[in-house]
Amino acid sequence: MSDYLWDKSGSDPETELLENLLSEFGSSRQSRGSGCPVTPEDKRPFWRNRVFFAAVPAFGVILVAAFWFSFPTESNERIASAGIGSTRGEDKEAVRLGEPELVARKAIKMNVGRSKKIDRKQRIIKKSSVRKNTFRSARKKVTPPSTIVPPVLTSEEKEAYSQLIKALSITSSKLRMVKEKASGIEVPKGSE
Amino acid sequence: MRKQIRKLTLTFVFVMTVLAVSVSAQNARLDFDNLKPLEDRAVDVVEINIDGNVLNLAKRVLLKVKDKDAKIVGEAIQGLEAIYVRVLRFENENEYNIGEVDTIRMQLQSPGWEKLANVRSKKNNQKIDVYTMFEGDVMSGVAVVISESRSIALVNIIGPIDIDLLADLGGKLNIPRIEIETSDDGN
Repeated sequence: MSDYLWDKSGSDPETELLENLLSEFGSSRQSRGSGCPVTPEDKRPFWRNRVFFAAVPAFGVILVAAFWFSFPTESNERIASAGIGSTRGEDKEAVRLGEPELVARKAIKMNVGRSKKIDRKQRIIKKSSVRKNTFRSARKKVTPPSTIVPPVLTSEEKEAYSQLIKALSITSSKLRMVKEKASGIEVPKGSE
Repeated sequence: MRKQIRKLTLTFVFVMTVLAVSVSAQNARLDFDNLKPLEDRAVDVVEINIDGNVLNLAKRVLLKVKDKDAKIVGEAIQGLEAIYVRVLRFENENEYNIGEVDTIRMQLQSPGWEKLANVRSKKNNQKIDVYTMFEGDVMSGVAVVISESRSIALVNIIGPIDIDLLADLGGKLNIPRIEIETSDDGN
């Protein structure tokens, strides 16, 4: 048995013919040693792998996004409730353009490639009105409960006020007494 | 010359009108001085005089207080010019001479005062008199004189005021609703 297939010693015309035919599809690199050909790429550490290089930044972006949306800032809530991703740049744009316009732009972007039968303008208006309503509900701010602030009074004002209240209190009670006496409500039976 | 005479006449009429109004307003004021000797004998004495700057201060406070009841009270006393209150309570019955209170009742016999209510009860020797003074259709004064065997209460209000509204003020804006005592030793 020929060792041609193992270490290219001797001759094996059929194999050589096949080699020649398939050589145009083969790698230009030469195997370093004998035995099973091993490419240098296979020996690279995993962190030099192309897939790993792509995965790390993607994972980082996902982490940052998760961290960003974990804080319920007003703009995040707005965008999240509208179902659109947001970045700081977009928030600034929202401030600059005004939210409805930004939403309209986003709606345009989102709707590109979808059904072309519906008139684009109508779709944008529809979408933006939906977004507007969503924003409007998201914009509702929680107003703090109204607290009654007592008026700041000087000592003279306090004294005058308390005197007036006393006087009114006595006057009120006496007038009520007169009213009730005059109408006979308080007159006990057989008192006269 | 004629113009000067006309000016002088108009000024005189204006001054006299102002004087008449102020004098009539002052007429509603009762003199409580003869009650001074009684104050020494009384166990409890309440003396409240609110007029001028004090009343203005109190009215200002009512404006500051953002309250519905404060608004009602403020409206009730809007035209109030002065309010004078005296309440004297004695330890024993007949500790004062009823004649001393009658001198105040005599003041109410002067022209201008009209009797609104008059209640006489043998129980506690209760005598209640309510008088009002009017300038045209506008009330310019109210006087309430209540004498009982152990107590005297006098209220003198100067200026237009709604009596019914004032009577209903009890319980509003920390004005305590003082219930009328019906017991024998009542106030």
